[in-house]
Amino acid sequence: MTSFITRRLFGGLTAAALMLPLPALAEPITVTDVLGRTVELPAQPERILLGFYFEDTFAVGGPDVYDRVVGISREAWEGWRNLQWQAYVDAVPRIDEIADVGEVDAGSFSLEAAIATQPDVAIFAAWQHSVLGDAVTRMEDAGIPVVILDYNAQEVEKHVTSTRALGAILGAEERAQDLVDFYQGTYDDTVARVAKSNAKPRVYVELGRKGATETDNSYAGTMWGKLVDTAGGENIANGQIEKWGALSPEYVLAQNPEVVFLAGSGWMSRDNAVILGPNVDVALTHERMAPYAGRPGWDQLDAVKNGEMHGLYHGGARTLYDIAFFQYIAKQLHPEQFEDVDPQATLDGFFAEYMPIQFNGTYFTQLK
Amino acid sequence: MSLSAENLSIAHGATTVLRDVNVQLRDGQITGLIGPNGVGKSSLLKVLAGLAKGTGTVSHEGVAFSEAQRREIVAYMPQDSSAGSSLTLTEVVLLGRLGSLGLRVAPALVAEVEGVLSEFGLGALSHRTLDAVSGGQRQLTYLAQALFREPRILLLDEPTAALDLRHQLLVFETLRKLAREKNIAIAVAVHDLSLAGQFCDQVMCLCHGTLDASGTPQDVLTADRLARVYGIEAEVTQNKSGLRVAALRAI
Amino acid sequence: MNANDGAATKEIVSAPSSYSRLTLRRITALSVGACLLMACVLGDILTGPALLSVGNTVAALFGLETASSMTTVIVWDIRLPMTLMALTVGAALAVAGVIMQTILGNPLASPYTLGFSAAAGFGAAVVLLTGISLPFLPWLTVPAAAFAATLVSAALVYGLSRAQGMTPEVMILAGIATLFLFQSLQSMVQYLASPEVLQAIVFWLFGSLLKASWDNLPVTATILVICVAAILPDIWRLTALRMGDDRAAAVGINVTRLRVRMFVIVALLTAGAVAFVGTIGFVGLVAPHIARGFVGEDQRFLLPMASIVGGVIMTGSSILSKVISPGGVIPIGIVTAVLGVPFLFGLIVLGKRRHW
Repeated sequence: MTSFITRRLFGGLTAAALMLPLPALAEPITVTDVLGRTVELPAQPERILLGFYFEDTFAVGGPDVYDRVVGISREAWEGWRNLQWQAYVDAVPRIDEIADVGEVDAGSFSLEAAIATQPDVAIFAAWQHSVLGDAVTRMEDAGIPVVILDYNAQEVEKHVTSTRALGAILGAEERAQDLVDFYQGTYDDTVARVAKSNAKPRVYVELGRKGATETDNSYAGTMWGKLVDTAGGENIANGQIEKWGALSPEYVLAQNPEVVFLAGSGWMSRDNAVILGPNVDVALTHERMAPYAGRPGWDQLDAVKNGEMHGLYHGGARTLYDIAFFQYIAKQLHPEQFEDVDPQATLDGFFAEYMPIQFNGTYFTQLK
Repeated sequence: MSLSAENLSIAHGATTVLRDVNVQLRDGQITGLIGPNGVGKSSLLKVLAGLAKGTGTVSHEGVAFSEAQRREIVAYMPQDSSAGSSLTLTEVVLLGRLGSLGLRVAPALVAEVEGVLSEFGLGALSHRTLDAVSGGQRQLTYLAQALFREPRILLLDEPTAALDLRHQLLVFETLRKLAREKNIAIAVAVHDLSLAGQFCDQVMCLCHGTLDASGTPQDVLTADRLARVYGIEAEVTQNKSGLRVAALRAI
Repeated sequence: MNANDGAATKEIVSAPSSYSRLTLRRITALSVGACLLMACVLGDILTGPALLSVGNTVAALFGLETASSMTTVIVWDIRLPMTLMALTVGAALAVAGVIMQTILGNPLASPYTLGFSAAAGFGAAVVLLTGISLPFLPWLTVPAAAFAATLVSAALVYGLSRAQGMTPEVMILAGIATLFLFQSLQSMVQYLASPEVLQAIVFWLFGSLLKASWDNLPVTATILVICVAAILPDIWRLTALRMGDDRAAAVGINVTRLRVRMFVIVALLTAGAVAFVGTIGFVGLVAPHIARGFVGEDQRFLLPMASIVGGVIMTGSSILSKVISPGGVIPIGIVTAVLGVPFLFGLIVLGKRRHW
């Protein structure tokens, strides 16, 4: 954000080149992002560059929001959450035509491609911001306001700030407020119910990407680890790993977890991986989860003996609807407090209310 | 006539090193191989030892003699002694009889090795490693290894290059004794023409890629030839120990 | 001292042989090493986050009825495969390191010098990226790919060096070229991979014993046994190679053939070790040097000593990593360096040898 002149000059030149009308001369708006920065940008931006949080953008902006998106990090959506991508492309074919600006983590992000989409505003995830570094400054120097969101942190405040920022950018403040109320309300209710319970069951979370024959990552303090902590579980990974990493199989046996969560996703052509997500048949999920119960010694774990093995959609964390996952986890840890709570209904309701596709698939499930 | 080679030619790639050389090594005799640097003395010894390729016929006691057969009964000692390593002197000599070594080494064999080392004054150093002895001692060790192979034919490339005067004499006296007592045919590439004149029964002089002369030291080591082959003015005298060559100046 | 003095010769021979004293010292070093290895193996089986008592562990180990079924599972299905894999891989990498240093005549050589590890990493990464899996034996997919890629790199190095006579210099050059080729291919695969796959690739590259099981342990162990059996007939020739090519040839060794044979064995050993546990570094470089410091160059002692040192480094690292981080899993490849390098430094500083 060097100078107003640069931005106007840039905008003017490109607009002239494309024979488009000049940007509306309405008063610019200001948005506060998760880094605490106050970003000035034109009201009702018509050209948005979106780095991540594609579903949350749908939730806040509505089904037509992608008409205003001119560039995305396609790999972060199509590649990482392929089942999801297919489901949304079916519902909104336009997203398949949006220009790809490359993916930040893989180093394929192209500043030139990003600027060439002539965005009025660029939205990135906090993790993208930290990888992009100088490139963000250069975009700002080129007159493109940059707003940073963070749903990954799995903190209510950041969810709220991110959602409000999206609402302001997309001119959907009311809808954003509804979402914030929904999220905050469900969160507070869940936390209150958890507080009433004295139980603190031992929980083990494992990424189900490698199949039962190999030990994959667990999470401590972030992502699923954070949700388990907040939901009143005793995450056995705490103190053993930093953020994420594999736990020793022997340690897991020795800790004897009472509840096991396996995080699955739509990993392509991984014959052993736990599969969950849009359009996934729950039978397939269960089929992939079953071998985990047959790991050496697992037949003696309380979680396995009591049938407390659950699958979670790995793409479900770090979103606005992760609140349903939070409910689901809390319900498994304190069933007596959540008898009247149906996380599935929360999820269904969210999709019906805010998303362009109907909820259909397997997002969380208990191995029967 | 122990080992003979006829019309031997040696090439390194496209370069011919030696052309049509005839060699006769006789049992019980020492043959000195002389000639200026780079003339092909080492290459000739390697081919005779079966370690390098050459064209021509090599025969042993009149029978054609393949490279593999040559490796069996010929012991060859390469020139360079600089490569140190952590092998002990005993181990180096033991390796001379590679074929007879098993997982266990017989004490008798070790005793024999230490005997050979003692002959060269290395008995007290036998447990030392190669990198912990002098260059001359390394050279003596490798000579001991070559002798330990109990060869019928012994080919030595500059065996005295790193040795003091006493050990030079010691080595050649040992060689002469071996040749006489065990009836071994020995060929030695040597730069010291006085040593050649003193100890060799036969001298072969290589020059310009071919054999310039072959015969007794008296026949070969003449002032004229040395002037032509080496480009030196030399004085050749005969004393009681043999022929002495004193190089006076380069021409 | 005089060649003509037969009496003196006899006298020296009849004196107590310094060689037999040296042999005795080497056997002692081997025995001490073997005891240390036993201690490390036992220590590795006895330690773990489950904090089993020694009595229970031993009972489970020998299948006594006093052991609970959970203890038996922990000892037999989790600890033993990892300990034995550590032992096998440590020995295999150490032996491969000794042979590589010997045939290349280079103290810096290790099983990974000629690009084998980069190739194995590339093979594993490709499979992790594409998610291809073998029919019937899906658990063997990544190891098989790593194994195959290692052999391809070996064939490449062989093909390139063969034309120039398989000298150490040519082999090292060809190996470095192969190393860079597979490193860049591996980087390309990593570049293409999504963060989750990338993480799996990086974790694989670190090397970890987590994948050890009763399924793959026999494969690695069999390869080790076959390779060692194939080395034995050449054991003296390998010792002789330490004199240099010319002198080895002079005592009747076909140096080129020996080098090719040993090169194939190193490729197999390395592939077998790396395929299941990833690229565990430093063992293959450090263990031969430590072993050489204790028993010298004679490969009859050097190979077993190096295997012992390799096993000690691996099992010791395993114990260390369990002490540092009981619940989490520190990739053992990181710990081996921490444990092996100070050893080597000590040897360099305290050692009297001027040549490797």
